[in-house]
Amino acid sequence: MAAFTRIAREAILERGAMEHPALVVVADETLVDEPASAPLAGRRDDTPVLLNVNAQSARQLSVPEPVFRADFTAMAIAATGRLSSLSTALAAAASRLSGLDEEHCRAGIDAELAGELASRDELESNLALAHDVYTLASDWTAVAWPDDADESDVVEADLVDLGLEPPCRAAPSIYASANSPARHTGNWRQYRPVLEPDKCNRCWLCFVWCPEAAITLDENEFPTVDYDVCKGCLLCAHECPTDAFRVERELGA
Amino acid sequence: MTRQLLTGNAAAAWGARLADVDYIPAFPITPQTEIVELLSRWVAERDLGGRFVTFDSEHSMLTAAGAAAATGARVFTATSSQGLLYGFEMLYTIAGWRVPLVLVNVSRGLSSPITLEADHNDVLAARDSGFVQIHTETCQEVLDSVLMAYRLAESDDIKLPVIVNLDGFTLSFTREPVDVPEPERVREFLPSYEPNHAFIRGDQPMAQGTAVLGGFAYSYFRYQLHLAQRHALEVIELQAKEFEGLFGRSYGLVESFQMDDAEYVLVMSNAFATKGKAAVQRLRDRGVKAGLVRLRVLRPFPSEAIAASLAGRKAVAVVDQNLSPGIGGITFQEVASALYGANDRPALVSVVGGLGGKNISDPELESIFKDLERAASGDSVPSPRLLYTRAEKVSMDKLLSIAGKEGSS
Ligand code: SF4
Ligand code: SF4
Repeated sequence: MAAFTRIAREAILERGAMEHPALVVVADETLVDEPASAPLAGRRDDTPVLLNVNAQSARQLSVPEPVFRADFTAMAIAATGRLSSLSTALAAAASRLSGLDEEHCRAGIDAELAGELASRDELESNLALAHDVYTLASDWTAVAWPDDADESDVVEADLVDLGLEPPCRAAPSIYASANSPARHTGNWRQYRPVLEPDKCNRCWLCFVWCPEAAITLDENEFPTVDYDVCKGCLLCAHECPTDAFRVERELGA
Repeated sequence: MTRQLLTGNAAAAWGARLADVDYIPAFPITPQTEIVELLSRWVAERDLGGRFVTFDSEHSMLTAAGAAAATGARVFTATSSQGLLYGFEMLYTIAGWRVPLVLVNVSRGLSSPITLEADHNDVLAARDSGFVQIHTETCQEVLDSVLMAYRLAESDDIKLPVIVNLDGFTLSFTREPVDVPEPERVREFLPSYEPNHAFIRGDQPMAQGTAVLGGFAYSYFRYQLHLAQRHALEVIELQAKEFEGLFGRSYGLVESFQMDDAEYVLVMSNAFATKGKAAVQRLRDRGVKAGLVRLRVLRPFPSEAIAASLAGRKAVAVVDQNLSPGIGGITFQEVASALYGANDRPALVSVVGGLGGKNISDPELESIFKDLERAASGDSVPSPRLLYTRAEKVSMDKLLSIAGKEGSS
């Protein structure tokens, strides 16, 4: 899901998904390589990307130019003390790249936030943040607005007929032994449930309760946790009637 | 009048505010919640008079809405999807009471599988309830339709509840410039509600929604509901003219886009109709006589207006963003039945697309026109034609294999 703004002088006959963005803003750099988010989908070769990067991280993203990078999160926190001001920082950067004058950006921030923020001071610190961003971005080149005249080349979709498939495929269930087997939620874990088998009475309550389907039963009906996907919610430990799960601080997930 | 950048949800809330509603029973649900959040804030800040009350469920919420309308209050409420279904019993009941109120539904696909984005199975499930249904395309139309809905609902010769539908996400969370009219101007179009058939007054006690036994009484009341709906076709058009006179924006039962000499026609509803219009424009640029009819009022169903605008065309595709398992697209059936008695019927194609908010893409719209050409020359076209691409099927197969499902077709 994405948020977007369309700006044009003529009527905008487009809805929903944006097929050819003129500017892509990525608020979280870790999404770039995330197939489910695919924030760069629809980007043409020359579509600029505004990337919020974590200056502390060693991560090297290979996003083809033109890319405008900055640690907007750090700027936002420095200016207002609030992470939520990231929206202000990114909006200001996107405004700058869209060719909007700073005063128009300020008017927009004022209109958006005046009713939301507790005090005039908070609004002022957001306006100061926008100013910081405009200063940082003073030498960025504004986006060249694409000419939409080449739309007549839209071709027919490659449609397929869906055939009847058996319910074991066609019902929305997951047979893999984890709800999200392709995403290793194991690294979310702050605490690790560790089974002490001699306390376990094999009631299977943990197996039933685990919301991630991360617990399977072995041949002796003892629970086994798949630590690649166990996200550490500790429902299993909480529900176990015999306290058979020891809870350890996670050190290496 | 002020021009504001509003989401579809905010436009709906503004409609209620300008209608100066007395009572707002509320229950949150994505993607509707912003409507009741705004209204609750306005009530708290005294920008809007009236009472805002939260409930334990949509069933209670709708019961309260209908009951309040039966006391003579002007009532606004809003829901979406599962919420509409949870209150379903009360839709039929309230319509049977013949009390006016406006319910905004923000369309969202129904479970299962559970999802968040728009299709019209939710609101169309309510099509036989007796509620009038107005389906909107733009944020401006949302605001305007709420006002027109009150005017219609409260008309002396109508007295029916009205659903105004807008698409989740594509409209509910999309901001557009909206003219917000001055309250005084709105008052000219929509005076305050003076209940004359359902109210609470000390000098005139009454029982409402009484039970009947023996089908003759039941038949009478239910058929009156039908006749009131049919009568609304005329009233909606008259009131729309008045609205246009005051605000300069015109809305009919259906909207015709590039229809004067159109040969290949899309029939669409709600927000994606905009994309249909863009496709029509592209085809026009290439010299193809394309056109679009947007279904705006779905109940009462404007069969005559639809037959009149579609008869004589070469081919017509009815694009349903809904699916009735076991038959196909819902509005297709209704458009086909409207055309059955017409002379010079066009070739008719049923298309199902945009389920669960899936984009109806420009290439998909091109495909529909290709189907229309085939149908016009007598070739057969799958019915319904599902808008589903090979790339999407590949992604689906991949998802199924991650989910541990065997086999692939
Ligand atoms: S902590 Fe326990 S219940 Fe939670 S995901 Fe891990 S195994 Fe499952
Ligand atoms: S809930 Fe506790 S006792 Fe029961 S199977 Fe799981 S670990 Fe063993």
